[in-house]
Amino acid sequence: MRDANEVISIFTDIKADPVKYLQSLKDVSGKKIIGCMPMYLPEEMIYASGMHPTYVPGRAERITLGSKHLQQFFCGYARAVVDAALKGDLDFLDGMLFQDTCHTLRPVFDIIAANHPYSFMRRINMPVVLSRPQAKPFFTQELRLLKRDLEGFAGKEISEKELKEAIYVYNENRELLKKIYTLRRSRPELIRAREMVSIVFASMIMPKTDHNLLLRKLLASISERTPPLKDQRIRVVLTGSLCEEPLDYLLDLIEELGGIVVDDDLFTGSRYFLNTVPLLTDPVESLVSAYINMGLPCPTRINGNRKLGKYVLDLARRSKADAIIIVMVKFCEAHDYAYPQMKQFFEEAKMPHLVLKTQHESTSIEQIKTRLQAFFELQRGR
Amino acid sequence: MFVAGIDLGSAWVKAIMLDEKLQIVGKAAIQTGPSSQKAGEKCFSELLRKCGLKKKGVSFILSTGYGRKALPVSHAEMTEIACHAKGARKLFPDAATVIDIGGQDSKVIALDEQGFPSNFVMNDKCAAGCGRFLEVMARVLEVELQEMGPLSLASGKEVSISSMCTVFAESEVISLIANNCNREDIARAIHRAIALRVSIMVEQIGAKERIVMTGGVARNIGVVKELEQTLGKRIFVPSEPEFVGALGAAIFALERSIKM
Amino acid sequence: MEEKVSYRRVKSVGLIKDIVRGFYEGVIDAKRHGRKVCWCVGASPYEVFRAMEIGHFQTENWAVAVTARGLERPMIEEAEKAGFSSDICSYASINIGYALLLKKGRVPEDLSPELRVPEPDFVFTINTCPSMAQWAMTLSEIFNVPFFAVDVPLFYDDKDELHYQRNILYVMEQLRDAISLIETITRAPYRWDRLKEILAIIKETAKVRQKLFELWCHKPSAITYWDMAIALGAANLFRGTEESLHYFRKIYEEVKERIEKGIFSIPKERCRLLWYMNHPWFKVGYLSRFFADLDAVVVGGQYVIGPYSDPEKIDPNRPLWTIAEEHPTRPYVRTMRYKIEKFLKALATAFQVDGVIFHSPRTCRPNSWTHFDEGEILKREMGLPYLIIEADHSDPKFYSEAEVDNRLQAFVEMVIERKEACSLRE
Repeated sequence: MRDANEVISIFTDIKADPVKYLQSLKDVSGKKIIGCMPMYLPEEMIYASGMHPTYVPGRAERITLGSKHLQQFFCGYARAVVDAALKGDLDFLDGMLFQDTCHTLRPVFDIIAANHPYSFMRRINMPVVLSRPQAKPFFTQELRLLKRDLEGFAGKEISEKELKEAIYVYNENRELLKKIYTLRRSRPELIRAREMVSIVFASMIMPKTDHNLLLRKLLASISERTPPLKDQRIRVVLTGSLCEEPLDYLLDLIEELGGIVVDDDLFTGSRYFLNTVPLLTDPVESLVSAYINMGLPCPTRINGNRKLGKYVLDLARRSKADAIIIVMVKFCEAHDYAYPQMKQFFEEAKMPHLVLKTQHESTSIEQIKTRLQAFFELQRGR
Repeated sequence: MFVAGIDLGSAWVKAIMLDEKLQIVGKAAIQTGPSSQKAGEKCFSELLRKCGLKKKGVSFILSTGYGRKALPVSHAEMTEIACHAKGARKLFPDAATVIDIGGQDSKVIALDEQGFPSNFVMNDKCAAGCGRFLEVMARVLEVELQEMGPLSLASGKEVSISSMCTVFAESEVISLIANNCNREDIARAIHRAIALRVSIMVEQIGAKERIVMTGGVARNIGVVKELEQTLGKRIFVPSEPEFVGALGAAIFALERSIKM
Repeated sequence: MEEKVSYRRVKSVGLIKDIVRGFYEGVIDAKRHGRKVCWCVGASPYEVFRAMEIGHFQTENWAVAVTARGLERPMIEEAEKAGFSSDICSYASINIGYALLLKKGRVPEDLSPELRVPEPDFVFTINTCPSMAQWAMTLSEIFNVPFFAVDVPLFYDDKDELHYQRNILYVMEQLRDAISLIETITRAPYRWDRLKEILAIIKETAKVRQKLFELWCHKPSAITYWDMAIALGAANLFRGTEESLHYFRKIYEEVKERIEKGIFSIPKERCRLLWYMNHPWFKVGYLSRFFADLDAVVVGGQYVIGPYSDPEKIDPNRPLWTIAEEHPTRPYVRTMRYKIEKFLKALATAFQVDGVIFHSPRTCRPNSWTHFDEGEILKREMGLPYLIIEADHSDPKFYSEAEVDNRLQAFVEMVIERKEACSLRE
C-alpha cells in the first residue's frame, strides 16, 4: 500500500515541476532531449535513436514574452510554450519536433526558430485527411526522411531492431496504462482524478522503461491502497483540453462537489495510450499504420466521419458514467468546431453534459465552482 | 502670432496658447463632463480670456485627445501619440521613452534620436491602471486623490492586489480595509498594480532613457516611484504633466501655421 | 477644420457587381436546371468544377458579399445558438449560420436574392488553412452530403527541391481523386478539354494582371489596395471566364489612362503603406477615405494580388500540376522567412512604401501568424516601421473604431513626421 502512494507521489512531483525533472534527467543521463509538440508524433523513433522524447510542458504562471509574439487570441498553451522557450526555461531541450496540429501551434515553430532555436528544429507533415489513399505513402516518406535526420543529429543509425524494441517498450507502457484505466473504471475511488492525470503526464515526460517499472509497482499495490475518495456519487467522464493537462483545481473541485472521474478522453489521459502500434515487418510502416489507421476520432483530423460525440458517449456508457464534463480551452478552434456536433449527440442520447471553459490567464474558479455545483445538484435530483 | 493646442481628454480638457517663439502665453483646464465639444469650446474661451485675446487673433488651433474630432473651432487634429511625443521632447530634448497615463487610457511611445516617435503601444481596451482607477481607489480609501501619492510613501509593508480589473480590485481593497490593513500599504499596493500594468506595456517597446512621464497620473509621486522601481530606471516628470499633450498640439499648430 | 481630401476610386473595379450577381445567379440556376451544386471551402480549384458546369462558389467569397452588405448578423447569431463559439473564423460563422437557417427554411428576408445559394450536393475543400477541413465537414453533416478534402502539406523546407516536388505531387494525386469523385457524382466523363480552355483564359488574364501590377507600382498611385480588394473576386472565384478577362483589361486601360493624365488616387501622397494579411471587408470604402484624409495611401498587399498571378506557371496542357502548384504561392503553407522575403520585403520594395500595416484578424489565426516577429525583422532588415492592428475580416463587432482608427492615425502621423523631417535634412 505504501508502494502505491510512493509511486503516485513520484508522478505528481514530476507533473508539478516537469522542467526540473527533465533538467536532472539530462544531467544524469547525458541524453539529448527532443521536445515533441502535440500530437501523435512518432516518439518511438526518437527513443530508438538513443535520444529522449518528451512532451513540451507549458504552464507558465505569467505569460509576458509569449503574448508579445502571439496575440491574445492564440491559446494559452501556444503562448506558454513560446514564453518558456524564449525565457530559457526549456534549455534542457536539444531540439523540438512539430507536426501540423492546428493553425495555433504552427507559428510556435517559426517564433522559436527565429528567437531561441535549439540545435534540432524540425517539422514533419502528418496527413490530416487520413482516409486519402495517398496519405500512407506520403507519410511513410516523411517518416523515412525524419529517421534520416534524427540519425544525423543523434550521430548514430537507428536499426530496425532498435526501432522494433522501442515500439515494444512503448506498447508495453500503453498496455500498463490501459490496465490502470480498467481498474479505475471498476474502482474509481482508488485514484483521484489529478493523480490519474499525473500518471499519464509522467509517461509523457519520463523514459518509458522507468515509467513501466513504476507502473508495474503501482499495479501490484494499488488495490490495497486506502481509497482517497469516498461518498462521491456522480460518475463523470472527462473529455477535451486537447493539448495540455486540465487544471488540478478543476479536477479537485469535481471531487469536492461530489463527482468522481471514472474514465476520460483527455490528451493527458486515455488518448495518449489507446493507440497501440501494430508489429509489422518494417517498423517504420508500423508507425505509419498506427497513425493512418488511428481509431481515435480527433478534432484536428479527418478520419472517417467525425464521430467524436459517439466515441465519447460510448466511452461514458461503458464506464457507466452519469455525466460528461467537457473541458474547453478558449481559442482552441479545432475543439470549437467539434463541440456543436457533440452537444447535439449528447442531447439526443439524453446524456447530461457540462462545458467548463478555461482560459490560461483568467479562468474564474468561482464561475467553474458555481457551474459544477449547479450541474451536480441537477444530477443528484435525477 | 498666437497658436493654440487643445487636448480633449476623457476626464479633463486642457489648452495652451503659444506665441511664435514657442513661449507659453496662457493655460486653461476644465473638466470634460458629458460633452467633449461643449467642454472644448468652454476651455478655449477660458484660454482666450486668460491671454486677453480674441479668437481671430489665434492663427491656428490644433486639437488632440479622445474628443479631438468634436471641436469645430479647431483647424486640424492629431493623435495624442504625436502630441505627447512632441510636447515631451520639447520639455526634455533627450526624451527617448514617453509614458502617458491618462484618465481612461495609457500609452508608451518610443522616440528615435531625432525625437520622432518610432513605435508605440496603447492600452485603450480597459481603464484599469489609469486615472479613473485611481479615483475609484481614492474614494474607497476615503482620501483625496492628490493625497494618494504622499500616503503611499509612508507604507511600511508590502500588500498585494491581484486583480487586473478596476471593479474586482475595488472589492479586494474593501476586504483589505476590512481586514485592518492600513491605508498607506493599500495605497502603495494600488500604485504597484498600476506600475506593473504599465511596465508590461513598456516591456513591449523597451525602456530607453531618458524616460519621461506625462498625463495627470504622473502627479502621483507614489505611482512614479513604483514605476521607477519596477523598471529599475529614473523617470522624469515635467512640472505640469497633464498639459504635455496640449503643448505638443500647440507646437504642431505653430508648424502648420508657418507652412500655410 | 481643413478641407477634407477626397479619394479617387478606380471606376471600373465597380463593374465586379455585375460579375458577382451573374455568377451567383448561375449557381441558383444550376440547381434549378438539375445540375449539381458544390460548396467550396477555402481557395479551391474552381475551374475544375466549372469545366463540368457544376454550380459552385467559394464560401468565403460568399461571406464577404454578405458582410459587405451588412447582412451577417443573423447568420452569426444562428451559428452561436447552435453552439459554435464566436472565436471561430467569422467567414465560417456566417456560412454555417446560413446553412443552419437554410436547412430550417428560415433564410433572412433581407438577404439579396442572388446570395440565397441552394443546398449543396457535395462539399469540397482544400486544407491550406487547418480549419477548413473541419468547416467543410460541419457543412457536410448539416446537409448530410459527401465531402472531399484535399490535404495541403506545409512547405516547411525552402531549400529542398525534392520536398517541394513531393508536396506538389501529393496535392496533385488528391486532385485526381477529386475528379474521379466529380465523375461519379455527375455520372459523366470529365471534360479535360474544357478545363484546358479555362486555364488558357486564366493564363491570358494573368498576362493582363502582370502588366497591371507594373502600373500598380507606379508612384504616385493610380490604383490602390482597396481598388484591388474589390477586384479580387475576379482573380479568385470568377477567374477563367471571358468576363473576368475583360474586367481586368478594363481596369488596366483605366489605370494606364489615369497615369497618362496625371489622375492619381489621392491628391497629396505623403505616405505610402503596405497592408499585410487580410483586411476588414466591411470597411473597404471607409478605410480608403480614412487614409486619404491623412494624405496616406495604402498602395498594395499580398492578400489582394490573388492567385495565378504568374502566367509562366500556368500550363493548360498540365492542368493538375498547374492547379497543384498554385498552392505554395499562398503564405499559409510557407515558412516565416519565405513570407518575409516574398510577401513583405519584395512588395515593400516594389510598391516603394514608407511603412507596413499588419492586420491581425481576431477570428483568423493563420492571417495573424508571427506578426510581431515579421515586423521586427522587417524593421531590422529594411528599416521600415510597422503597426499591428487587431480587427477582423468579416465580423464588425471585432472592429473597434476608437482603437483601430486611433492607432492607424498615430502611425501615419509618425511615418509622415519622420519621412518629412528626413527629407528636410537632406
